[in-house]
Amino acid sequence: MAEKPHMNLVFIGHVDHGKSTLVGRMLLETGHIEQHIIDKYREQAEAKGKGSFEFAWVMDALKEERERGLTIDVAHKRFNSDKYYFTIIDAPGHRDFVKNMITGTSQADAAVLVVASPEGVMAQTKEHVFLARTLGVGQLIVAINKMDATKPPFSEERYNEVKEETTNLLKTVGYKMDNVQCLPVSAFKGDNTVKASENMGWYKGITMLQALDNLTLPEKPSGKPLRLPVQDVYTSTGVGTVPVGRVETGVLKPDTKIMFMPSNKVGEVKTIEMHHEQITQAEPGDNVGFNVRGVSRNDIRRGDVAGPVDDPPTVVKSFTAQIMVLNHPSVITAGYTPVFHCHTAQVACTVEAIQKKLDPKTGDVKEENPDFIKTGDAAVIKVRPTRPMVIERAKDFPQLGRFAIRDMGQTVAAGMCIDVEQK
Amino acid sequence: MGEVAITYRILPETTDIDLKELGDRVRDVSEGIGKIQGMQEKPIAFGLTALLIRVIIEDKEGGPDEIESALSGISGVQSVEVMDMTRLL
Repeated sequence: MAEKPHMNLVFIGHVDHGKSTLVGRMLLETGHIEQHIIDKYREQAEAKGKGSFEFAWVMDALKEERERGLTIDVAHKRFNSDKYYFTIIDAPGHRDFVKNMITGTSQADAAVLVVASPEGVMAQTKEHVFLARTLGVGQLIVAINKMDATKPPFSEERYNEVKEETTNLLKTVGYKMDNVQCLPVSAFKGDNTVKASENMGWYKGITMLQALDNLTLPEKPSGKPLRLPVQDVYTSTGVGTVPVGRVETGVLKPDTKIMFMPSNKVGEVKTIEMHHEQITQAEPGDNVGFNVRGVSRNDIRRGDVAGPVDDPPTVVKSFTAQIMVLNHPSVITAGYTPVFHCHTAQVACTVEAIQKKLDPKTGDVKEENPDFIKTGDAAVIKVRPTRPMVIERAKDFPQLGRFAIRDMGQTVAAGMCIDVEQK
Repeated sequence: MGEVAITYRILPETTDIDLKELGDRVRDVSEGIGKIQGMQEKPIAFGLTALLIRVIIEDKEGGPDEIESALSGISGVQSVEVMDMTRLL
């Protein structure tokens, strides 16, 4: 039987809002927790004279299991819906992991934002919503969780309040509500995850599982022009220059000319290898090495991006970006020159101007040309790299348009490129 | 608080570097920072082989910085790349 289409699903939201519980619940209800784990908890339950289902025990069992169960090749929890199979990334809560989310994880096709209904939107919710946007995740399911813990339980009024609060936040960062599905759940009790809840007669919408089935597969980035950020460059005896990297968009093929920017070198791809085996083309997500004629090891370096000669990667004189300040000890003003981590490049860039400060409640411009921005602020800034750098508009190439801003050994901000001024 | 599993791909400076010894050095420097839960050699291309490692660290301030700078400082390491990251259930 042909395998179902695959989707990368990232779970975001405050760590105490029940993300793990929702993941655990979906795994259990879709039959993806190993039977021996379920049997084990049943035995324990019976031994203690409790025949009833105790979901918390399953979560504990999963925790124990992971100590033994993890291998490098099967890193992810996965489950199937009717239409898709999903692999899950659960986003870390602390903002110090943002750089890794931006430069390291594979492209997420959709996100599940978990917001606990008793608490509502919190600072980490805001950070993660911004992060999802920066990662170029267009489709979002908002699971308003812990509905069993509202006062009174399963309160429609509370659901609507949190839904409105979350919707406003999403609009702020530019989400279109057509691509967002809000629904009430209790991951702990199971309400509305795979079966409609008997406790929420007022809710006439779809379940979590149906919402997952309603997602659409994003267009494959193989149709776009080639973009391959260079991770490292080797020389191999008898082979020549071998750049190594991951294809982000487009297709890399032998016997084609490619251009490395900003080094501005053209070479011809001869052979491509993946896992030491020759392949006829490399597609998005493939980690490859390839030998390239006409380019020496010293001509190109990490941070260069390979692309077609007739549609080369964009080298910018300056660019406009939307950023969120995650953690800065004081304030950011024009002239600030931290290091931008974008694809494999690390380039010091000067904040030339802070053009707009955005109101996190409405998404409107709060202040034109503010003197400074600080932790928690979202803003539009103009940036000038101190040396040549490739960055693309995030809407054209999300993987090459997002960045983390680092200073003093910390991630101070994250953002995405919204416009470029070419060099 | 929770824990995060990060998979790193470590590329050696040259194809001549002994990955077994490199792996030992990786274990040494990781001691006390995170828990290494898996390590394997991953062929890349043209004789170049990377070391894939999976490290478990806590989801807290400082995040992956400490382990990344430790790994990057190992002799024989060319680069350290995040391949994958997720919180653990």
